[in-house]
Amino acid sequence: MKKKWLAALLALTMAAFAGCGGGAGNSSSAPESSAPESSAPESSAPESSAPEEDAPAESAADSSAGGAVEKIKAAGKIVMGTNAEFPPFEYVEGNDVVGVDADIAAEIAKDLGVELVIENMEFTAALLAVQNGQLDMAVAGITVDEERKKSMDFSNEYVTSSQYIIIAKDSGLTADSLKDAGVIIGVQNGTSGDFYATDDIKGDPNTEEVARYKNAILAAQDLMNGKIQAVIIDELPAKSIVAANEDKLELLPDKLTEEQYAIAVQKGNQELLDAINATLDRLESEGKIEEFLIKHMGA
Amino acid sequence: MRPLLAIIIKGKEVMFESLLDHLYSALITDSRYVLILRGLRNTLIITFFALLLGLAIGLILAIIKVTVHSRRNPLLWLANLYTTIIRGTPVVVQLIIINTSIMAQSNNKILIAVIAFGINSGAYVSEIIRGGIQSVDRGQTEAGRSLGLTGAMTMRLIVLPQAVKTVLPSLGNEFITLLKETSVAGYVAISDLTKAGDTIVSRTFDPTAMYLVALVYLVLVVGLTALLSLMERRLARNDLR
Repeated sequence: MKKKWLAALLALTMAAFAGCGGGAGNSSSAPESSAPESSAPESSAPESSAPEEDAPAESAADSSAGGAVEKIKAAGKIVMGTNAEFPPFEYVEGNDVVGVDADIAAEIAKDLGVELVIENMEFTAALLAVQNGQLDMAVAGITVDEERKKSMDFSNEYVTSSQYIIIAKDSGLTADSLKDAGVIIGVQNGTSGDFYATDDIKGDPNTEEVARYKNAILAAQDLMNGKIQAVIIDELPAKSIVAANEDKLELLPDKLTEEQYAIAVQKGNQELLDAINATLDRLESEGKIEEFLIKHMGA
Repeated sequence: MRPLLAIIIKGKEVMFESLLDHLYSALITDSRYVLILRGLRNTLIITFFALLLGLAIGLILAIIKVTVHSRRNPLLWLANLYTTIIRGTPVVVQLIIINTSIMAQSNNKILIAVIAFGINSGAYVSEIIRGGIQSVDRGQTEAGRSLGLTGAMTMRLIVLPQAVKTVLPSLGNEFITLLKETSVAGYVAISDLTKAGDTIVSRTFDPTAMYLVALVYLVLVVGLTALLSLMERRLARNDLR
């Protein structure tokens, strides 16, 4: 019996070490990832956090200046993270991730003279991975917002979008009625639609009336089955989803937000950002982004 | 992610402060602990009722598998088909199918999860119990029958009590697996413990909440393990006489 307790204790200790190990692992990449430090999520008192942030900020400067683009060129590939459940910006066709973002990323890779590697992952995971430097860039129809700017850097904006409401056809719901108790809003976890529904419509960070799905398509299925009353998602995915289910769903005309998409890179990686912006400018002037949008809207 | 190492070098107090910052933003800001507690509640409810459902389904299937000898009996055929289909497909796929088509009309997400995980667990439990029943010496059944007990009485009074002792460790293992498998419930927007962590991380951009979620699962599993070993010891007492 004593042995069992000993074993349990050992297991706990190991777990504790595993916890520390995780922390140390993250810190080994401290120089590159120290900038998000300054995000200091609305909690740390200014006087206590100011001194400790100085040193990492300096080391960030000298390490990320050390040729982020050179590193990509040396590796011969640029790694992009996305969540391919967001048509027309990213979706899967056959075995490949395609879409507007994939096309833009391919142009960036072409301009750098490297191969494009696309990692298809959860949206929130892609945002975390780009902060940690596991990805070179996240291109996932990411809305630029102040909170996110604290943890990552954004390129020039390449698409203007807004959040739209999908409801079941003829349910008679309006944008205002989404506030009502009992009206459950489906969103994709961690997207700006999620934040709008939670903070602006329901006005309660712990609301039980926002259902957070892995993607908007699963949310739309639940909407068609009457499990939820509305889905809030970005304009173009909303239009794609409604177009595919015109007999059951309808789009409300209200634009809930004005927002811009941009490409995210690790905080402080100005060099890569410059390269990305150069490509975006070229695509913009050649009218390519418009072309990509038209090409993928039919999908 | 904060550079923990850089801070550790600077001194313990600073590290402690930064840890507090992480915990503060993961739990206290916007009362995020409410999400974790609600997630924990849902995880426990789903696991507990799925466990009961799984035990019931598993016991019935196991008895069918052991007592029906004719290969052509449709009951046996159905029981085997059930095990094959359920064990042959991932639980998250079953959950999505149950959510979007079989129980499409139900608004009760917790009920959907209980049924999906209960049905899944039942298939595994049936095989565990079948193994347990078959491990009881045939002589026990023969002795029961020759003493004049009916087949059902022999099963209930003689075979099953002995089988329980053999299956308890594997059953415990299945319960632990079940508890952790419910973490995929978030796939269809069920607010379980894992989903709570996910939601918080999507706001804080900091994985601290996931460490906390991992810790809660660990505590639950350690607790469950202790409970099961207590039961095993209770049952083992009879052996020592």
